[in-house]
Amino acid sequence: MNLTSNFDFCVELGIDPVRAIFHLALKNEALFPHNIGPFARVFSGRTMDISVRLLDDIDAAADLSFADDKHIRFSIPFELTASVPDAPDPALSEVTLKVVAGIPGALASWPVEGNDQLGIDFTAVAAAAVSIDSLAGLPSIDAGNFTAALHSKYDSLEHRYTLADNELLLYDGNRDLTLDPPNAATPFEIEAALEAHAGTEYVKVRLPIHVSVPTAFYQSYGRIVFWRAVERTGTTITVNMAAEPAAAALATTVELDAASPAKDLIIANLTPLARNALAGFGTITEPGFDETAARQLLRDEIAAYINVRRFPIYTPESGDEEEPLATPVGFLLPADGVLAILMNRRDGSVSDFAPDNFLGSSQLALAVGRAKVDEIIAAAIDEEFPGVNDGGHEVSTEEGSATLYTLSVVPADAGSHDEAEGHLWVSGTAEVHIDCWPDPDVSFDGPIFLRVALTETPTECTMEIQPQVGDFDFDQSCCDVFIDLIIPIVGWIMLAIIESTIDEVGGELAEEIAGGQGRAIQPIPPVVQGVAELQACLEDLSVGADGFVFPGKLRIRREGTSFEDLQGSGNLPRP
Amino acid sequence: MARSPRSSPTKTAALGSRPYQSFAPRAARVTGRAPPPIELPQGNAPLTIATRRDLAASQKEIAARINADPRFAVMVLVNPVLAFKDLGIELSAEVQHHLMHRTQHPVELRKRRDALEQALREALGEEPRPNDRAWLAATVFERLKLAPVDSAGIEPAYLPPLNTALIARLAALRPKPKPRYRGARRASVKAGIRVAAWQPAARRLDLDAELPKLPALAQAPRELALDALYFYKDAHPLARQLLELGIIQRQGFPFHTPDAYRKIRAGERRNAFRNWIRSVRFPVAES
Repeated sequence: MNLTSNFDFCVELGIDPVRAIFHLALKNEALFPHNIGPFARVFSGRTMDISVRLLDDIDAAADLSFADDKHIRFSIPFELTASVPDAPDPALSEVTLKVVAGIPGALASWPVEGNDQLGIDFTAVAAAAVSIDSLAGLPSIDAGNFTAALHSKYDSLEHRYTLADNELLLYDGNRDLTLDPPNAATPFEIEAALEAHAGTEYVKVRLPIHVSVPTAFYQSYGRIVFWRAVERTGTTITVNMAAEPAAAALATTVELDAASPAKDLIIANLTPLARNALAGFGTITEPGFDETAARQLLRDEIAAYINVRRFPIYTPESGDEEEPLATPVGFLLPADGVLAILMNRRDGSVSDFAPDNFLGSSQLALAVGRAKVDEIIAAAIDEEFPGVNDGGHEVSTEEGSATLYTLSVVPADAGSHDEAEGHLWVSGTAEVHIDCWPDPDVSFDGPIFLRVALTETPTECTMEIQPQVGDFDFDQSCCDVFIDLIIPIVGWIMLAIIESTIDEVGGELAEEIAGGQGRAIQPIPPVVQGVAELQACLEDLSVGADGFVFPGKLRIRREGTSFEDLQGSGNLPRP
Repeated sequence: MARSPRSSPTKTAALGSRPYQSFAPRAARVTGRAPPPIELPQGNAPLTIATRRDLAASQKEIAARINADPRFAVMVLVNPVLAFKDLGIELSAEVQHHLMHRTQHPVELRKRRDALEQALREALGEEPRPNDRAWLAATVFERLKLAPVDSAGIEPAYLPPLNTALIARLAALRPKPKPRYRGARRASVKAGIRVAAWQPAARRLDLDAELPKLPALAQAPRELALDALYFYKDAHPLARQLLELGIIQRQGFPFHTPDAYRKIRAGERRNAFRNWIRSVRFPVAES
């Protein structure tokens, strides 16, 4: 199994802990502003004040998924409120859209003050890479909106037109109570409807009026009926109230209720006046986004906002600035839901490549590669048996003496050497010194198993490693001597390997446990700066020909004081 | 220098009601490897070794017979007398004793063992058997009249398997402690890593460590293990000599009984030599 690729160490996290950290990060206002804006945008000549509110709750949960080996796709729900104070339809003066956007973040490394750090980089995000996965609240401009816009426009127009003693009153319900006579026209209010004629959309308006012509002794309620073409683009709706349709059937007409011989003449004279009055409404232009245009606009805005940002994950500043983490490089294993962080590039002559999934069902696992294991083993053997593998080392004990010529300790897979579990395979050659007899040459090999005893209480999580020598019987004192020679060195090797792993992946090594071979540890960085505290616990170890794996579990809690903290300390705010 | 965790008698929680800790094989583990039976060497002409001179003269022939089958050669480590017999080599009683005695300890240790055995034999009037629990209890409580003490739950002091200088060199392989993350943490669980303490072994009992004062035991036990004798080492000179002899015996090369030898050769009984030793080859002396 490829544990660490071309690196020495690897930390793998399951997608669930990554999600948990992400949710906590989203709660950090300083890191991820929850409220963006208001900022101004001008559409169709109208200025919109736009505010964005980030969401992550039960009803609208943020999420992430591993898209490919280098990209995390973030699913971010937010509310976008657009305020248009002068919207023709007051109901559209504030529109709130509920959006869920998918944004890809690249798992990338970049140098900071000479040291690489790993993080999520959005700087390459283009609009096309952003997806609008959900969009709700986008208003569709219908007859009601036109009606409301006309009601609104009515308030700003003249309602009484005169020519000599003649008078034309425009009504819209009771919106102008100063008009005399009061409104008794049909329709009582301005009415609008959308109709299609010859492939063109029109708004049909019925405008209640009263006409007074004293010289003809004529007064009548009535209505002006007219059609105006509606022009829609993806972003704008325009109605030119001055543009009379060419079709005769859609010509502006004046209808009067009271009969009179002069009625037709009055209508003929009044119609041009009515057209002029309608032209007073001008060209009504309103931002009106269809869904396609709205989605594109959102993609553009999101990309523009995000593509100047990147967020560090593994950074020298996360720990001791004097001890920066070495070349952290991240890979995602989408099929398995695993985030792998490699550290200490061992071989720069090959392109970095993803490790295999060694996480299994754990939340967290650390791995150290075979090459690093071999280095530490070689160093330990050299300390305990200097000269071995290079001429020989004299081993002298109370029980006897020997010249150890070669000694090899290598991690081996389960299934090799007829052993059902992974082990350290020890082999060597020695010359055993026997009194009064020629010294025989002995070659030996056999397995050492690494067993783990976990002490886990509400306040402690300690992993104890117990090297066990296969097939050795303690009744055999000669073997006991061998165990005394090999087991302590295996113990030191394991401590060196585990502690080096912890150290190199940014964990913390505290002082020694009093009187014992061990120490308090933080297996991985215990903080995600400003976001979360991580409590990792190594629970096991597995040995294979490719190195060692230390599976563990992870508790994640919000950094700072939580409700539970205050409750636990009896410091909840009192009324 | 930091003291070893086992450098002075310590209370242990795990002993429970057991009056004395035995040296059970806590670390022994059966592996998946099951060595096949070893065929007896064939075709060796009978060779009789009557004296030590014969033994010296026949070294080349003996080495050749052992080296002829490296797999069988391992049996020489299990019991050289019985292995020689399987190789067609008959040893006189004198040579058998010589072989077993001389190969069991280095010279200095063998001399010390001989001296202790002689002194104890003279003092007790019988062959000392410190690794025989019943014999040891009878000798300590009935012959030497020592008052029994309650050492339940007390672990003797042991010398560490590695010396202090080596431990320091090995410890240097470990990364230094690094308080990387400053600031208060609310984490309630403290994580740790450690390696199991090394095995106590009777042959590493620390003869010079100071003993704790132990309460008297109302009734003398009927058996006394070597690690329990440890708590009487300062109560009587012979007790100390018995303990030292017992330790030396534990340090000896263990030769198996004929029955055990047969079972080990037949693959019916597991043995470290069969599983761990691939070959044994004796140098062929120039004639």
